[in-house]
Amino acid sequence: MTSVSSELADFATGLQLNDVPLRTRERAKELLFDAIGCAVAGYLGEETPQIERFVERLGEGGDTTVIGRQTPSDLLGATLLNAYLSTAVTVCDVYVPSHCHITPEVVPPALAIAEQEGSTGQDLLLAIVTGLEVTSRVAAGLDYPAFRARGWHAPGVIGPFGAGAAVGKLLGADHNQMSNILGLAGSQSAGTWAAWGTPTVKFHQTRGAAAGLLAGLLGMQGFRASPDILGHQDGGILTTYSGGGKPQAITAGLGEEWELERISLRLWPGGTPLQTVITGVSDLLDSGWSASLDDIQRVTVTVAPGVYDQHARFVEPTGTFESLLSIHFVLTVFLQEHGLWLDHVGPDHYLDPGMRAFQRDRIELKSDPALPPTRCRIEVESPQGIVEVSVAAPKGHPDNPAERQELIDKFLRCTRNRLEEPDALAAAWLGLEDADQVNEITVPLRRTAV
Amino acid sequence: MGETTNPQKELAESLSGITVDDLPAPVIARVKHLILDTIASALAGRHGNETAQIEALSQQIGGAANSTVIAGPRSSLVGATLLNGYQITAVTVCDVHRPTLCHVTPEVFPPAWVVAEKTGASGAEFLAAVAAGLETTVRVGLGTNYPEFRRRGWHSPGVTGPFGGAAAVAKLLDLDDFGFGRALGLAGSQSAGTFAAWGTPTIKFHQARGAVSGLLAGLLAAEGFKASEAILTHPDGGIYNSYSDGGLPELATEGLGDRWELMDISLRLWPAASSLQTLITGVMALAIEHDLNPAEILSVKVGLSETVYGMHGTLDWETKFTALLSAPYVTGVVLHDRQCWLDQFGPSRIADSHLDAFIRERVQVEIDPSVEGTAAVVEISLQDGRVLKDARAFGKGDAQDPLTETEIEDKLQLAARGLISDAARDELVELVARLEDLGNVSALCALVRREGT
Repeated sequence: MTSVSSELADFATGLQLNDVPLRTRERAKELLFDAIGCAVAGYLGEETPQIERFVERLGEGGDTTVIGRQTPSDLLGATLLNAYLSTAVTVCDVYVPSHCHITPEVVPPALAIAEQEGSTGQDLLLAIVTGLEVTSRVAAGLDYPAFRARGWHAPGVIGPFGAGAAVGKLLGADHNQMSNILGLAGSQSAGTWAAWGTPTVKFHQTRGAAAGLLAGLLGMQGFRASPDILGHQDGGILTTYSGGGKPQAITAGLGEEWELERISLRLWPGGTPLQTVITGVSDLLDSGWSASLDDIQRVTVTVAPGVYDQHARFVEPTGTFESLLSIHFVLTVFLQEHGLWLDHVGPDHYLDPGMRAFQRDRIELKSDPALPPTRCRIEVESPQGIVEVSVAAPKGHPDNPAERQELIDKFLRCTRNRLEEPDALAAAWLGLEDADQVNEITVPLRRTAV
Repeated sequence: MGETTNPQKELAESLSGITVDDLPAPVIARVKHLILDTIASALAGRHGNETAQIEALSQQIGGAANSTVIAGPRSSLVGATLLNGYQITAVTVCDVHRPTLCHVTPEVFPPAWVVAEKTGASGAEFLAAVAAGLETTVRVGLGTNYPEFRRRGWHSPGVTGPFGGAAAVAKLLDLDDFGFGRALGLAGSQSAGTFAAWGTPTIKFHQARGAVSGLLAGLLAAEGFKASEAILTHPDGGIYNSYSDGGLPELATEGLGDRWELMDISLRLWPAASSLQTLITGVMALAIEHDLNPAEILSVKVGLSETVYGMHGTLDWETKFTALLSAPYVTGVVLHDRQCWLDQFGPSRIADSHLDAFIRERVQVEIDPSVEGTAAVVEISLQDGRVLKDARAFGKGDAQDPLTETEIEDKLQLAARGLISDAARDELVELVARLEDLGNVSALCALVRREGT
């Protein structure tokens, strides 16, 4: 009987761009495009300078593009740095069913190898489709509640699979090489929620990208690895990390149904569950309702118990990272600014006494076991009366997708103060298939305006 | 376990500040033995079947090639860590901490080596860093409740190894206890590697990647990057909870500062699976004591524990990799050659039809219910009617029968053949012997660096 690991390797090896429906290709391209924008925004991350110094300490030289920076790095350094940048300000993608940010692991090693190999835009797009689909499929195969109950944080565990597959795809892996790549990826699966509340939770994505790079390069050498890393009874990912998982979900409809289309994007910075709340406030303001903070007497936000448990403690955040995890804070900012972006999450906002008082005294966060993590209810009381908003899915979720123009607007917000000619870059990356060599569109990412 | 127990914090507080002056003399002697043995193992590892593949990877990932690979080409910090880590374990001759089935030096030594070289650390600083690293990994491992940890599929080196690598780097970068603790938090965020890889060289890649994880953790912690302060015991994702059943955290710190658990690390004289060292010791003893001629042997019966039999009892010997792990093969080849080094696992020796026939027709490996752990019973029936028997609980090199300095030097001599000069080898022995007086470890690095690199 063929193992799921082998079937997945077969799929990754054989996939051609022509096999991928246009809609899926476009979606993958949007995910790549968005990841690049997120990486440029990542320079605003509080710990980004630490990661930059760390990478510089690891090595010098190299000619691999670091997104949004003039100085290139080596393959590993650029992979580490691009991965951290993509996830640094909590605005990247997420595969909601397994709470996994996927592009930070898949995109950086693929970009690095595509540049090195002089790959075409179509080669890169195929590698991205392959990598995103492989990690999404492994994600779908987890018994996520069991996986989560054991403390695992998905990006560092399943991210290396897609990252490795993308590298292998660009390097022309055959079945055995791809099988070894997946085995080597799984031998590096790590990262738990013990890191929650610290930037190490983002380092999981960073290390996951590097793990995929190592797996891809070593697997191509013919280095042998477990042929059934997913289903092995003694240490397989599904067994050891997830109580057996749902192996059939990994391969069901493979190549016909595209799990990568279930990856969500975020239009606003902030933890994944916060996107639902922000969507609710945004919808409320779009409906024409408006009130100043002074006029609002009470806001009640009801979320799923898991969301409550993770975020209730951040009532008055003391740093940017905590701000991006604080429902109280993002709600207050959005009500005050009628928007939320990275210039709203600095100390001038999170230390503002008026805002902190509002967060503390007028916002009540509640949990309701009947709500899934993507839903929320918001009730706002003001002199105009009580208004209620109910959100079924956050903006950017597959059930409430972001429009392409919204993604372009986000890209421009991410890049406008750092990169030269951001509009031209947006057009180039959305026309990825036309690039004869990926370098044509990666090298301009080094042209910084700062 | 008391609610306030936090072994991460206790390890950091106890080990971050130690110097060589705090180490008892037997510990200093033991660590020096471990260092010399590790260098010998890394030299031998140049002959590993897959070493060239790891070397290619170490070059591909890039970075300035300023770090010494033992008898290999210079590489970047990460590249040298990866390659040295692989070489140490490549031909299955490195150390093992038996209670947690963990090869410790492949994760601890390489990042300490490259960072000490880069910072120009003294021999005393390097020695203290390696001691702290070894002690950290062994103690973190003791806290896992190993039987449960193993039942869940985990292979120790990639899980607990990064902690020791990170600790050693933290020491060399002079991090305070908070920084040391952060390094441990970052190490645990990279803990990985399961027995799904058994039977493939990826099982050894766990050690190499574990070494790199320790390096990354130490360097990133030095930048002030925050990490979990309860990576071992956190109820939601602590190593002892996610990788085991809560573990035995008190064992991670029991006697900390008074008892050095690193003394319980075993070494190997022979390049074969750690669990087969007792068997080889027994077979070698019988062969030498009775001057056995294989032609006079009617049958050989080997009794192993169920666990060891499951891993090694039925493995074929078609490649060097499997031959090193095969109980029937090591039994047969040691009876014939009365030696056990890399020549015994070379292609021509493996393919020897006479030896092959002997093993298939006369060597029988089975589960012996009376045998526990890595113990072994060997019973040899001779044509003259004699039945010779050797039963022992542990092999040569075990912590209870440690290798002598001379035995380690003999191992180094074998490993260094054709790779470094005799003069360099002898100087290496001499420098390690007075490591605590060495002004700069770069002198050590220079001795094992391949000329022209």
